[in-house]
Amino acid sequence: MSRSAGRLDTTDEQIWVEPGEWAARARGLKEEGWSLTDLAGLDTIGLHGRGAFEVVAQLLHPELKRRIMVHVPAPGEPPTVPSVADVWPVADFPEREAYDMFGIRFEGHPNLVRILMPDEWEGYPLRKSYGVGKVAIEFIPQPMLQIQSAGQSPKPHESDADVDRLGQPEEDEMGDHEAAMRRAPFARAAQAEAGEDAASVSPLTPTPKEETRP
Amino acid sequence: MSIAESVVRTIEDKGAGAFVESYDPAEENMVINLGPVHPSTHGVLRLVLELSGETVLDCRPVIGYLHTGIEKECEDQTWRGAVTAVTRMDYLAPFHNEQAFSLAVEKLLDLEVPPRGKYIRTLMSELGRLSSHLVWFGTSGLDMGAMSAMFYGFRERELFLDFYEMVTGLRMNHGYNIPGGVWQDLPEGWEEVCANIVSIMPGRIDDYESLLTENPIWLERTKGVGIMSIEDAVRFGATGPIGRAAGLDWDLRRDMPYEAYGELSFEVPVASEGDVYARYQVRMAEMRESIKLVGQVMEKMPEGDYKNMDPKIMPPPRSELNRSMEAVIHHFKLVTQGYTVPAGDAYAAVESPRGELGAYVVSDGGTAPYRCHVRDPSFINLQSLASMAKGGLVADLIAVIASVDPVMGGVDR
Repeated sequence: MSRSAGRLDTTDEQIWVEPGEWAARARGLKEEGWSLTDLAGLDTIGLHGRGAFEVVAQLLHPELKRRIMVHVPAPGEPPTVPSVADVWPVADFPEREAYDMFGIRFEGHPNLVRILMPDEWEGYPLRKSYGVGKVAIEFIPQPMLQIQSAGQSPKPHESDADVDRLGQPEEDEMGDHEAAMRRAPFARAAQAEAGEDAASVSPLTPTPKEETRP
Repeated sequence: MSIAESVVRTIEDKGAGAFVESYDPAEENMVINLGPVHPSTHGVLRLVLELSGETVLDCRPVIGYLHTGIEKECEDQTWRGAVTAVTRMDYLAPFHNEQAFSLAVEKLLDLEVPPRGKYIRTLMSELGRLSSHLVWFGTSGLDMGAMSAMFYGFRERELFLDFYEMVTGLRMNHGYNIPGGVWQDLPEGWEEVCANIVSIMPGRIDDYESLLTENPIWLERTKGVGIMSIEDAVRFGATGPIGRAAGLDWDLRRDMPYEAYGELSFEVPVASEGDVYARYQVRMAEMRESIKLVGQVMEKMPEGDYKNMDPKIMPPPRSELNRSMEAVIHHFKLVTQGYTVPAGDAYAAVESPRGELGAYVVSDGGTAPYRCHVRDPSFINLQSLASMAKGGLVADLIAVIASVDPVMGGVDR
């Protein structure tokens, strides 16, 4: 049974490179025959004494058959490091992914836009400060799925209060549109219950747009 | 900024809508959206193409339609539980996903896998390569009009899926390789099923080759199409069969052996043309090598433990729980809390059917991965798609996509 607890460095060689030296160092490493296999962002906020963000590159030397792991701290807000996409073109997608997931800016990257998340997405999902379930799930409960007859189900507002929203923002923290979207089905159902022109505000049909009358 | 590049931006601004986004009458260049819902893009891959007539001038992959946040999900799981999340990334190579992750965690734990565990992992990894290449064979045949290829490929894949079900209980997403070994031993009678596969497959691969290898239509569609030079393969980090088809003689199983590969003998097929036909030949030869490897593993399969029995990592066997108080305590701790992993970073890579599949795992000393990043070969290989497609016809692009064999579950994770 070979197992020794508490070892810190248990893998291939690891080196730390200052962000200002990264581009020059990368060129030197490439000339020595190292090729980039992977590059990932890392939120080091929970790792003791390692700053806030890091870029971690995995390098492979096909002739020596060795790997090294390069850590580049990304200081500042937004965290910034130089891009190595011009040194190793393979870094293009991985750097975009690290930008997308951690908000790390790669200076000199030819096309630093989001790659996995939609362009208009706010926040950086793999940061530790970005909790799971923080974003409202886009599924909106539809009135037609709820039992409307009396005595069979709680009132929409009561049931709404019981739902565990998994850290989603309260209504007053949300934007108007989002709050309206979430309220909409309940509001419509309530309206229908009140009997105001039941035909036009039936919970089964979408709310008609306001008509402007001459 | 090329037209295609600007169009990617404008489409993102507006939301993907129309399929023809711009048309420049002076240049007669047209920008067209291929996918994300298109039968020949193998999932939800979307390509923005800049065309002059039928010639592809530029090709930019737009990905993320299958992004499920598995890397984030891993941070919420125990080390053992993260295996179940990781296996769902590249859904055609589940064993390889688990294997890379487990190897990385074993590096952090400094944990030895017993020989039988290593051989079982090698066995499943090679069978996984075969079943993945069968899907590639079927779908790429289908893309180029060889309809029967799909029926044959998926027929034989059933043999493998039945074996996986027998061994792991599941046909896909097995969660079978865990840090320390595999979670259960091979069932009784596995030799017969495996021997059946080993005896059937060579003849079936001969059948496939008789269908396509000298088929004039197939040759016309694949020879000299989608050429990638060895320089481009290195530049864009292409690994696996597409790298080897371009002459890049690199295979992690041979060059940086892991598990039991150091004790087995096999050839690494390499071609030099770098076209779609070379990729076809390399994959076909790889399937034959994998069958040989499965045969060797069956012969050499050692007896003994199939996982590291360290009680701090592995729950005790069920029989122990009735006798030993200590076993009950260990079981309770492992089930309710999981085990801790010493703080540190580790990267481990395996040769998946599509190339180097690596897992970068960070521990802060807790019972859950602090960070789990997977270097998926499909994601990296997609970068070289443009270099293969430029200058070819749209119809050739379909052949190129099939030959790259991207799995969008792995690309988007």
